[in-house]
Amino acid sequence: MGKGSRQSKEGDVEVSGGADQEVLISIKSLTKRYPSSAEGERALQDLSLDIQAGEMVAIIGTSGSGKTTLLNILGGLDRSYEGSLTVKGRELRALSDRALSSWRNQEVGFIFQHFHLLDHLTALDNVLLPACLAKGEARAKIAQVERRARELLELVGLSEKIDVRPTQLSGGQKQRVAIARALLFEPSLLLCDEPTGSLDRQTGEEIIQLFKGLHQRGYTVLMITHEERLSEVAERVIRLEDGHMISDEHTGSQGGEG
Amino acid sequence: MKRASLNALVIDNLARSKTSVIMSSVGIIVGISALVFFIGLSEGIKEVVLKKIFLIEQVEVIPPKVGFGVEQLGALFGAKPSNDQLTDQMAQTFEGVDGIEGAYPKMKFTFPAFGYGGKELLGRDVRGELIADGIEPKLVHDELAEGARFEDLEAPRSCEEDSACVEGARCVSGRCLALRCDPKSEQVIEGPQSGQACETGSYCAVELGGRAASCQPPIPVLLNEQLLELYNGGLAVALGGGRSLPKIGKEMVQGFVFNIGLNRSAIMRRRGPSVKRRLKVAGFSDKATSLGITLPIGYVKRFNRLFTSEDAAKRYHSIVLKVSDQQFFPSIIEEVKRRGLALADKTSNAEQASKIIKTVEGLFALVSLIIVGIAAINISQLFFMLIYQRRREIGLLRALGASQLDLKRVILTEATLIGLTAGSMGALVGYGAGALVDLIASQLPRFPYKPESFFIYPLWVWPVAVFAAVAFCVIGAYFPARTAAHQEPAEALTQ
Repeated sequence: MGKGSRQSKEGDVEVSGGADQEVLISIKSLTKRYPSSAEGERALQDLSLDIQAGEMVAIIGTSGSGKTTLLNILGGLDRSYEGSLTVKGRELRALSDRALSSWRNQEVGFIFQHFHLLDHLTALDNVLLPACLAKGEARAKIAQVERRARELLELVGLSEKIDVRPTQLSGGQKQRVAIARALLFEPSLLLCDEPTGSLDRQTGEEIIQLFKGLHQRGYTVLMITHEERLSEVAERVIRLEDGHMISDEHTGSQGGEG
Repeated sequence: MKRASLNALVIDNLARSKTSVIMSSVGIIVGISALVFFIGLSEGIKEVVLKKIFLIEQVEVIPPKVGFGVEQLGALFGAKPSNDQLTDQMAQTFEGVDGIEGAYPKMKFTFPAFGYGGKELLGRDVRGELIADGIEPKLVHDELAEGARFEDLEAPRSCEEDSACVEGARCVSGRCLALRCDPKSEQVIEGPQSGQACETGSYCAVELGGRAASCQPPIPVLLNEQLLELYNGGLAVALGGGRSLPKIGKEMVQGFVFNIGLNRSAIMRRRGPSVKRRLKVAGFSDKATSLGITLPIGYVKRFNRLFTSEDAAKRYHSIVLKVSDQQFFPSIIEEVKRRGLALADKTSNAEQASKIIKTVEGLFALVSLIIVGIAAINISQLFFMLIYQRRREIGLLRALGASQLDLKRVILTEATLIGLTAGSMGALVGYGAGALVDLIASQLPRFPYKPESFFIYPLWVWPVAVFAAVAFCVIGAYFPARTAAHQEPAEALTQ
């Protein structure tokens, strides 16, 4: 279960987006410009929004709309921006490199379009990679982590592929390994960058179902995509165009119903 | 990052890039092996040149050399430079100077002498003029083989029983007295041993300044290895009179007994008292005279007193100052010059040789370090290349929680591991190259001062070699590590 989520004893997820929900991420007047971009051209322009804990949000936009830039900023991978970004009340930019790294390690799960698995490691070792980078108190838990990694691989349906290297896995299986890796430390935020972009339709559908399941378990899921079908399963859809937020809609979908 | 995880990641990374790593390590191996080889060679040369040829551990002080003036004029007519200053008092004065472990006077024979014998060793007796000097036995005490005896055996000594006396002497009223003997029959002529030959290890020697004779052990003498080299290198042929005498080794000469005629010359007639004595080779020392024999100084004093004058037994020809640490060498030389004394050629040459060797040693080290430095640049390029190849992986690690410090640690640990491995291998290769040179050199004919090994490796060489390799690798990898750490993770992931 994701940190900061509110899940019932039976595992049923409460409806997200309610007024009483905890604000996980708060963005105020966020502007991003790249040094190489032309004068006045901005990747993100004066963006403000809040994301509640336990929400499943799809950020949709065409190529160049600024959605990947937003994901990088939200994940603390890019700190050169203007405006304010607080996560659980903490200004992300104010964190030291060590604190930010530790936050990424413990609180954020990244899922990339191209999976980013290390080919020389087995599926299990790939899932365990964040544990190698854990710091402070998290280190002490490492002994328990391997068992959890096995459980996660089982959860994503890869219990038979634990010792297999990524080169021997299909695209969908690779993405499942990446999802298991993202979940290792039960992060409060899952950031998915075009998670079905490299998959065929059927496999993509399976992965979407997996995200739905995660959302039901209480994880906050934020998906960047240009695929409209993902918006159907998200309970909130934010549309970006040329760095501007053009809409922010609650779809009424409860994730699990999609 | 956990240490075990870091190590696993580092080993994994190196294994993946093993071809590039091996290629880059070759430079480090070559550089470090050159460093070890040159240090070993320099130390080996230093040992031979400074400790055996020039004896850098000692300063030999001689009387002031003749200058322009009355003294030089006197020298033209055969006058010898004055050695009035080189007395026991001067030796004591030097012992109080910082850095001087001991002052040991040297005295030469001031009369002619010739040696004869050698049939057991050379197949026939050889006769020739003999140069001899005397040194304090304490000066060579540490370097003689166990059981070797180099001391004044005729010096008066007190005793409680016979065993405290040397061969041929008995303890009488608390003093060792040599048994009287007949020089013709070589039999003891007093006491219970009367009629018997002198005790084993002694012979019947005519006493100095009289006709009486007593049982005495042979006079122990030291030889310089240089003399042996000279004999084997040419004298064996020259003394053989057309047919070379056999070449001899150190072991054969050890314990060899021969005779000496004191105050007589093999090449010219001389009147006055004379006496013959037996000598026994006690061992070899670099401190022995190069072209003659070296006796305990007590004998030389007595002979000089008898055959020359009382004064000749009090004036030394030189004083050897044993230096406790080479750092005092310059100040001691300064002190010697301040007292108006001069340095023996060997010491002056040692000073020059020391400077030359240090310069050459420095050049060797510089060349080696340049090689390692170039290798470090290569290492730097390797890591820049690896970082470029792994930039997406680096971005991923950052996304998964690696800090800038973690990335630096990974890369610098990789560099350390390369340095440790290549440094150790380089040290081994350097040692192996030295051994190979020694093996080839062992096939060459002997020449003066040819050492058993041309290489001496001080213990500090090994850690220094490995440390240098690690240091250069870490320096080489530092900037790539910094670049990797400061790489924007978002940018790296989109590559």
